Amino acid sequence: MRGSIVKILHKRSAAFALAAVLMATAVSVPSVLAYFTDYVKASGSKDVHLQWQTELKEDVRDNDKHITINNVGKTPVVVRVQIFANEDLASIRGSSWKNGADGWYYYKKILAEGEEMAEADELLVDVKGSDQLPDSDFNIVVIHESQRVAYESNTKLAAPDGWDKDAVAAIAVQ
Amino acid sequence: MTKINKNTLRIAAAVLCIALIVLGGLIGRTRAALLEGNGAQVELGMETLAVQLTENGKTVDGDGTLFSSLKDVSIDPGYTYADEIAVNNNGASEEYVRVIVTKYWTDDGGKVTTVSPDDIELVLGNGWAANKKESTAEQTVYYCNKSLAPGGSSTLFTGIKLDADIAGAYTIKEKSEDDKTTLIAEFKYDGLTFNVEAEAQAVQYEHGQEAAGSAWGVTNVTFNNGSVTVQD
Repeated sequence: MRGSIVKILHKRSAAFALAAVLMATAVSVPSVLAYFTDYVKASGSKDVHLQWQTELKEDVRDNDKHITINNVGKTPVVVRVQIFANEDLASIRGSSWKNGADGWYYYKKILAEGEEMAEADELLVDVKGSDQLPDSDFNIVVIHESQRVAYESNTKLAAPDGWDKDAVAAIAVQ
Repeated sequence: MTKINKNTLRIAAAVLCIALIVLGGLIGRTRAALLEGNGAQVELGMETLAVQLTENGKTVDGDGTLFSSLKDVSIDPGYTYADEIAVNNNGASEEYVRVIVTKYWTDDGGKVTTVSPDDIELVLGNGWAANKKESTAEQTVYYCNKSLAPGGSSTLFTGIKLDADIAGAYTIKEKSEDDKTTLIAEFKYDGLTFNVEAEAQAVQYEHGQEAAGSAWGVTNVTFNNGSVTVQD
């Protein structure tokens, strides 16, 4: 009997039946579900420009110095000016400028890229009449600084390092 | 034991094989369908599930389609530019959605890894949550906390801004020429390009937990009766 069973198992037909059982087992495993999905993609980019460049213009007329600044760069800037002059000989004024606590004069507007400051916005160094001036020469030294515009919020500019925060806060946000 | 005829055995095996295959097919089969809770099947066409991205109300699809409203705008660091990016269900079936957002900087030579993608800030709308477990330095995965019905929409971002600190990220170099020394500021971010990619993905509402797990491989987000919760 045992010999007969072994004989049967070695037959190809028995192997065939075994394969059939295995195949049936495979197809009867739990069904696989494919779920519905969808997708869409979009992308964008933009260049960043941070360099800036400004030019100081000093126009001397009747001993007075008329100061304006031009933005010759490609980004908006804030500007400030410092003037070294004998206070007994000259006074400084300009309705578009704020005298900061640090001795600098801050332009109250943002200077847009390519913008030339209007004459009406100039900072004036008003020198006393020639009859009041000493015989010797004197100097009026003007230094200007500019910084690329950055924001602390949409309604407030960020003050560059070392700039008077109150004076910068007074600059009109466009 | 009675000798069994070889041919008979083969025929029997073949019949058994065929019978078992047919039976196995009746027991289970592969299908794509929605299964309602009571076990009834609803066959669903592929075209009924759809998701769409819009920017400021206009459909966007493909490279270079985002930020068209900023084309002629000089991006000032720290200023938030209004830019509404939304996800819409423009299909016929309710769905769960998520968006994979990738941010990075490039220059002419390709991706720049010395500056941080975090300096590109997108203002997140209400109704979305980031899944930190799926996110990296460049890529964030956001899940809408509600399923979207057909025609439904959810605003993902309301604006974009660059960190204000990038304006102050520079080093001063000296240049000497003709007895003059010039100080030049070299900006880390000047001339770079910021890039944002968004891929919105939708999965079926029915059996959403299983569907999302299978399609997205996500394990820490629950999808339950239209509510989505990201677990930290």
